[in-house]
Amino acid sequence: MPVLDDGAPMAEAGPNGQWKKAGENYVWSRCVPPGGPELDLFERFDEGVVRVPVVERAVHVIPTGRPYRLAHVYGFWRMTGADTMYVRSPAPGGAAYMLLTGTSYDTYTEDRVFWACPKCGRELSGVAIPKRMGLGGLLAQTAKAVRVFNADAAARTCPGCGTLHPPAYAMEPEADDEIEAAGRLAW
Amino acid sequence: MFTDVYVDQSVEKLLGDWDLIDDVMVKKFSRFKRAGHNIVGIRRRMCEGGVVLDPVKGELPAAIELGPNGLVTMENTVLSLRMTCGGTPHRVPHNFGFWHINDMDELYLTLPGPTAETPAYCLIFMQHPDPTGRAGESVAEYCEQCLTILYERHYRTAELGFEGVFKFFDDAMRDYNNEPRNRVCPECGHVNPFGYTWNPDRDTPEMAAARQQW
Repeated sequence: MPVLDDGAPMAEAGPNGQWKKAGENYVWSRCVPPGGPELDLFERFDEGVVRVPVVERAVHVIPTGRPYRLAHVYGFWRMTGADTMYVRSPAPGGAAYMLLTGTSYDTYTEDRVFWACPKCGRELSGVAIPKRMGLGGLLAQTAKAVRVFNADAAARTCPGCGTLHPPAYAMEPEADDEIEAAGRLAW
Repeated sequence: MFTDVYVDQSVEKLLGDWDLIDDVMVKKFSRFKRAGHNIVGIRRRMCEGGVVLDPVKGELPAAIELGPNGLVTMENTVLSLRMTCGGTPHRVPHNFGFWHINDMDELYLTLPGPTAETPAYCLIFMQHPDPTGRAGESVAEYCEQCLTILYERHYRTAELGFEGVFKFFDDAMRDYNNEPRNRVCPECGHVNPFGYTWNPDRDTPEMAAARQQW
């Protein structure tokens, strides 16, 4: 299959999804079988959080600098210095999803991964991951930040309203520990 | 999660025209159009077995790339992302009669239509070159017999903007076709066919004949 050099069809991306670097792009795709969870896309504005409407097929641009997350995929908010294309489509094996981020712009210097209080929206904790670390560095540093966040109850507790943030999870489900796997199922 | 911090105003007010392939928006991308950092083209076409049925141009075969090992056919498969790496000469026979060399990666994705009888969504994404950089794209012609390069013109997309690229293609093809010596291979002597652009409405009789040929 002539896809991304060595094959990555959306419909065959599997239940855990897969990340690839393709040229100057980071690509993630996943196929959710019928009856599986909807991977809701959320975007964060000054006014609050927006759940992007779920339609059978959609192509949507998440603009530079707008924090977003995909439920059950990103257990954190991600803010990138480049636009990200979100694609959802029906597929023979269920629903196929894709995220595609071009990395060539000079504005893209880092990713910010952070957590916000689910009740009042206050930012709790976060890290910046330089683009120069590449896709491998992004995956590894996000996983590291997740472990640090989950291990620190104080960091997960909102200083404003006292709400405890649920356990976070990173970008590669196969590397989840039990706490992360539970978080991934929950939100 | 986050139910307490959801916005209470309409989603459309914050997200605007958020879905590029809804029935209204998709028409705006029937040619290529800027969408933030990206240039996006969306065609509604019937696709079967790697062949795209264009309502004007007819059956369009798979794209061809000119790589280090020669010509490579790149079929579009539904729900598979295909990439033409930046710097790779590529063309679609009968669609555009020159080799396009983009400094930026071009990504192709076909989404199935609502039913098997309705057209698919053929998407093309590429990043617009960073305006602070020097990237651009070129038109080239190679000898169809021995692949010797015959002609090349470059457009500074980062500096001049994507909006001028179609006029650049038109001008380059006119320039190439107007000088018969351009089409004669300096290596093997083969006389190559005329070039042509994407738009059949602008074909001269020679270009229309060439579109049928290659």
